[in-house]
Amino acid sequence: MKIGDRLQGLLVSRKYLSIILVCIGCALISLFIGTDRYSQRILLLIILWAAASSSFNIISGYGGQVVFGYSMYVGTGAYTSVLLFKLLGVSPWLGMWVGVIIAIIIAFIIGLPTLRLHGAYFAVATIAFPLITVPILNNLGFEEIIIPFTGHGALSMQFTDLRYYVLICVLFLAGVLLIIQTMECSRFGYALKAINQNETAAEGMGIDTYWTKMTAFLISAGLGAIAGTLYSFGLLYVLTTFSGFGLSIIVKILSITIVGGIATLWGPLIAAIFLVPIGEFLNAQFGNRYPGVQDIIFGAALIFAIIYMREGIWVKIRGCFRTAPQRPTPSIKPGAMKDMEKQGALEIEPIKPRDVESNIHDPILKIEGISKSFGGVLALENVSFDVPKGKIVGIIGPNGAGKTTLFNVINGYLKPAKGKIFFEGKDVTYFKPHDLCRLGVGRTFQVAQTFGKMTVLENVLTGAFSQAINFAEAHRIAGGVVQQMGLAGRAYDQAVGLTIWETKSLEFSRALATKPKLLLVDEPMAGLNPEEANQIAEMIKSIAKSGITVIVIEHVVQNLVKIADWMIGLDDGRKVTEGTPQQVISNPHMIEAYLGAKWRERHVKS
Amino acid sequence: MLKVKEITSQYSGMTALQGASINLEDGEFVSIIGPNGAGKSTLLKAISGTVKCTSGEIYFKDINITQMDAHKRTRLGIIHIPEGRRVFPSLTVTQNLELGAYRSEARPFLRENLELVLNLFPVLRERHNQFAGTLSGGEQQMLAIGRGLMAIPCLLMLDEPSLGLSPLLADSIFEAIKEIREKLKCSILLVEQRAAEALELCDRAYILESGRISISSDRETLMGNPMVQKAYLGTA
Repeated sequence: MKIGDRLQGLLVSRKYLSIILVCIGCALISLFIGTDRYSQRILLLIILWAAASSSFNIISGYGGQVVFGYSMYVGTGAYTSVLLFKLLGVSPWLGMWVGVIIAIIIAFIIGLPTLRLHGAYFAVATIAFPLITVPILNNLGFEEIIIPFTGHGALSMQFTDLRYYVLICVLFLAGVLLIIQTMECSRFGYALKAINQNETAAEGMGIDTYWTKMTAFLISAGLGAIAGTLYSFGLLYVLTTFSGFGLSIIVKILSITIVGGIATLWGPLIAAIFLVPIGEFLNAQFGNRYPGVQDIIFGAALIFAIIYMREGIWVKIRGCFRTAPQRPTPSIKPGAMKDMEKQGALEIEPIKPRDVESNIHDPILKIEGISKSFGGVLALENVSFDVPKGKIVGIIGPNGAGKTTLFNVINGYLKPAKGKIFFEGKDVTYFKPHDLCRLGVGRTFQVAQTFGKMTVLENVLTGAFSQAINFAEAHRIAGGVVQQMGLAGRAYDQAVGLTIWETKSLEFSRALATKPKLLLVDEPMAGLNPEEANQIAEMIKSIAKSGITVIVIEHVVQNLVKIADWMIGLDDGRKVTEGTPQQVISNPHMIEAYLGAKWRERHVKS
Repeated sequence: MLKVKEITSQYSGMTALQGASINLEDGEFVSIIGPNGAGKSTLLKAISGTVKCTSGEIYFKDINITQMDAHKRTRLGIIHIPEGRRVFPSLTVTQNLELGAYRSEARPFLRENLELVLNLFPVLRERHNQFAGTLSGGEQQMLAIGRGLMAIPCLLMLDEPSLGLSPLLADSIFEAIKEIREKLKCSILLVEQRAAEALELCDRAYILESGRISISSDRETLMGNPMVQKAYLGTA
């Protein structure tokens, strides 16, 4: 399981090397094409659009937050450097960086409120800003700016030989790709990918989702501004609000990103190599008669890609060269539980909580008078209890009693209306999930929330990052947990193809990799057959034995009774009873409202 | 009435069914049990048409429906209630139920059927004006089943109706299924993890393992089988 760090390093440096080689290749092609302006222009366009799309890919592809209004940042870069050059004579080399700073500030201001929105709302909110900016600039008289021609010179970024522009853009492309490559194997990159797939789960893994998205957004915006400057000085004579902020920019960038492959390093470059020349050819042939004809090819390619190859060209090309990885036999054959015991997959080595200090008799968690309502319906009403350290506490109650709401309040997904929560003596009532995760509160979900398109190991890594000081340590922790939980044979498979049992193991693994002191487990046995449910019970027992306090919500009460040290019965948002398992399941209220006489007949021998 | 002949099916790249065959007579109640990942849900999806078969044939009332679209199968009376209570959260309980009678054969009987469903699940009557999203898990499950019944099924397929329900609610769901059978006289195909309850209710059962039917037998024989007792009933 343990991946040789050297091998890992070698792989990473090979990827860096290929970026540098490809970029040198582009520069050499440009050098050999010579002074043919038409060919150089196409090459320049390819590189520039590839770089701009790759920049867009950071927030929108990797982070999954589609910035439809991306032209805002390209346009800001273009306008800032051109206006500074024209009005104040500032060199574009300096103006470019001013543009970057302004674009980042704008992105920050736009991001502050909008990044709290999810999915389509964010995408739609961003599109408003270029739409607002265009009429403002038009009114200020900046609808068209002729880029002044001050003689040729490196200082004013004006060259007759287009090869200089190609070289500058190649350097820019190399920079963007190196940033993406570095990001891909950093904890920031993993956090971003995790957010893309499941924001709730990411938050629970200790990832500060809001600021991670913000950082990615700012990087994308800044790089977009550089692209804007290079675009206007390299290719335009007249900068218009349409060419800077217009719709056709985002259409091109979106097509290139999606056709090439969302969240891939090479996708945008490859798509640009295909699409840009075709678009330019159409423009040269029919552009006079049918203006805007080149956008048709981008639109058509976009539709084609969305219908026939949603993963993009790059994934298709890569697939042709890679032989399909041999599907390892599932680590746990469904129903073959006995083999599993032989392999010792469930002999969990103690996964040590971070530190077991302070007085053992102090409760690890204190809940004091928690109330929470949804639109007038009280989901929790004045619930108080203590959770002793190192024990297993079971919570039972009818559907709709408020059990999951209680979990969501404890680990910060919901804020209580009243009451306080203390974790290790610290008031954590208004803490966010990711802060609580760092303090040591882990969580698994009722409906498993795995990152489907990441591998099992990557899923666990995301959890491990919350505590690990560096990549190597995170790898070590994740590898260890995957091994212990019997998922080693599936480590490199995507989480989406796992069986229910494996998915549950993965949820536990990911939560354990955050090294929790307290683990909240929501209905781990739902959908499992009796034997599998017993295995889960054993797993919870060994987790508790290693010193981690566990709170379990479960409807399979007969299994919960066997492992719980203490139980709490909820009904209608109120705590009905608490005590030893036997006391709670003998409580008349719980029998009437929850267990039913039939259940007692079946499971309680008396 | 239903004949499934050696169907195979792929599900997200993995072979989920490998030549599974089952039969169902008119008015029969058949349970399918088996470990996770055995293909139970896929089998129901293949019958209802939401998953395509790569080979094999499915006959319903002697009509070959292997290539038929899912909505056309629903019109024939094959009603599938998938796992996980998929109700329309922003519609009221009554609206959800009325949508169940979308099938043209069921529309004329909408009023009578609504009455029948509300009698079967009195809690839905209490909440008839509430949005479905505000119901508790158990109530949503009842609503999902009720909505299926509104279509007047010839074949009712239930996928893990007790999933995530409290012991008491699970029992009342099983009671309701029993009652449905007596009142509607339709054939029922039940997939359930709570094997003990599933076996108690049915006439016959299949055990599905790794995409194939491994055991097919009547209720008593199956409940007496020591392997079944150990693996699925959690006894012995």
